[in-house]
Amino acid sequence: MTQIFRIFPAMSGWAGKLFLTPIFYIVNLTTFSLLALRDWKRYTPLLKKDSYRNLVTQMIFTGVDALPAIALLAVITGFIFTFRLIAIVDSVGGSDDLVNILVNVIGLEIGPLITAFILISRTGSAIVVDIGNMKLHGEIEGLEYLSININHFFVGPRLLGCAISQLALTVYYTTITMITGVVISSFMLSAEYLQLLSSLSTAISPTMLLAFVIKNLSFGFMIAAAACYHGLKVVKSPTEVPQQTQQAITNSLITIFIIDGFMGLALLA
Amino acid sequence: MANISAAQQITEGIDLNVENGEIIVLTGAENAGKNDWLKTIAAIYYPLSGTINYFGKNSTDYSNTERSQLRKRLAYVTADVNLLSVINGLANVMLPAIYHKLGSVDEIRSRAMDLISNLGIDDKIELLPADMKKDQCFLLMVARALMLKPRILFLEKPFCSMDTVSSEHFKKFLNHLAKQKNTTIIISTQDINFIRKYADKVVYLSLENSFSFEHVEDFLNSRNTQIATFLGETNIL
Repeated sequence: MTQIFRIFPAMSGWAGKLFLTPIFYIVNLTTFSLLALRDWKRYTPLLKKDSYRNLVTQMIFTGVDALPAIALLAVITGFIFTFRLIAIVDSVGGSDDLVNILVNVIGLEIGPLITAFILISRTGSAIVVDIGNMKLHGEIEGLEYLSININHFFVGPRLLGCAISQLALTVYYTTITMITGVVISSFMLSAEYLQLLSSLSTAISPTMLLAFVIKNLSFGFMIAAAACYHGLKVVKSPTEVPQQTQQAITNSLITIFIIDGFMGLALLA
Repeated sequence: MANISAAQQITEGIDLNVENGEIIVLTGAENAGKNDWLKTIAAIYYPLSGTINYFGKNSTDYSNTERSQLRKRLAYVTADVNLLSVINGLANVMLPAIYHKLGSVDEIRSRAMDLISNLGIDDKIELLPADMKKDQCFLLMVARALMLKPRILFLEKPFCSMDTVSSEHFKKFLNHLAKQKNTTIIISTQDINFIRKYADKVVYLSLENSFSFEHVEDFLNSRNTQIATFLGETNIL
C-alpha cells in the first residue's frame, strides 16, 4: 500500500510534465516568433528595397533552390497519389465529386504536408546547424557587440522567407502533381480525364483558397521558428548542434500536424 | 567622458576618470579578472556595486534599447568571438556600417579599405575567415568595430596571438587612433612594453585588490610588493 503512495506522486509528476512540456514549448516558440517579428518590423522600414536582402537570400535558398527536388517529388507523387486516387474512384464507377476530392486531398492536405516535409528536412535542419554553429563559434556574440539585433538580422527574415517559400513551393508542387496524375490517368484509364484540368482550376472556393494560404504560411513560419529557436539554444558544446537539430525536426513535424488538425477542424466547422 | 567607480566580486573596486584620446591599460596577474572588469566597464556585464557613468549617464539607467545603441559608441573586441564565417573579410568589416546605414555602400567600402590598409591586412580581404590566421581575424574584428566610429574601443588581450612585427604595427596604429583620432582605448594586457610606451593610465588588478594610476610612471615606479613582483616577472618574460 505504501508503495502505491510512493509511486502515485512520481507518476502524477511524470504525467504532469508530459502534459505541460508541449504547452510550454508552444508558448515559448510563439513568444520567440512574435518578439522576432516585432524586432524585424521595428528595424525594417516597409517598402525599402535594401532592407530585404536577408529575406530574399532566405527565399532563394528555401524556395528557388528547392524547386528541382520539389518538381521531382511532385512528378513521383503525382503517380502515387493523384493517379491512384483517380484510379480508385474510377474502379468504383467514378464520382461527380472527383474534382472536389482531388482539391481537398491533394491540394489542401498532401501538397502542404509533402512540401513541409521537404522544408523541414532541407531548410529547417540547415537553419539549426547554421545558427547553432554561429552561436558556438561566437559569431552571433560578435554581432551583438556591434549593436546588431539578432532577431532582426537572423530570425525575422528566416521566418518570413520560409513562410512565403512554403506557400510558393506548395502551389508549384500541387500544380505539377495534379497535372502529372491527370495526364497519367488520361493515358492509362480514359482520355476524358484530361477535362479534369479545367475543372480543377474552377473548383477552388475562396474559403479553400484562404485555408490553403493560411495553412502554408503557418507551416513555413513554424518550421523556421522552431529551427531558429533550437539553433539559438546551442550554448557551448558541439554535441548540442545535432541534438537541437533532431529536436527541431521532431518538434516541427509535430507542430505542423497540430496546425493541420486545427485547420481541418476549422474547415469542418 | 566616462567615470568609473565600480566593484566586481573578485577584487576591490576601481575609481577612474576616462578622457578622450587616452589609452588606459588594465593589467595584473593571471586570473585576476581583467576581462570580467573590461566587460563590466564596457557595459556588457552589470557591476555588482558602484556606478559607471557614460556620457553623463549611469550605465544601469540605460534601457535595453539605449544599451544596445550604447554598443555603437563602446566597441568591444575580443578573440573569444569570431567574424561571420560565411562572408569574406571585407564584407565582414563593412557589415556593421551597412546594417546601421552609416553611408552609401561605396563610402562604406572606401572607409573599410582605408582601415584595413592602415592595419596592414589588405591582401586578406577576399579570404573567408576560415582561411585566415587568428591575428588577421582579430585585426579585421578591430576594423569592423571601428567602422561604427566608436568613442571608446575596448580590446581584450589584443597582442596574444600576434607576432612581434604585427604586434608593433598594431600598437602604433592604436596610438595613432587615440592621439590623432581622439578615440579612447581601454585594453586588458600584460604587455609591459606597450604599457611603458603608450599607456596614459594603468589599473593594476590582483585577486585581492586593485590600484588605479593616473600616470603610467607612478605604476612603473610603484613600491607596492605585488606590482614590483609583477613588473619583475613581466620584464623577465
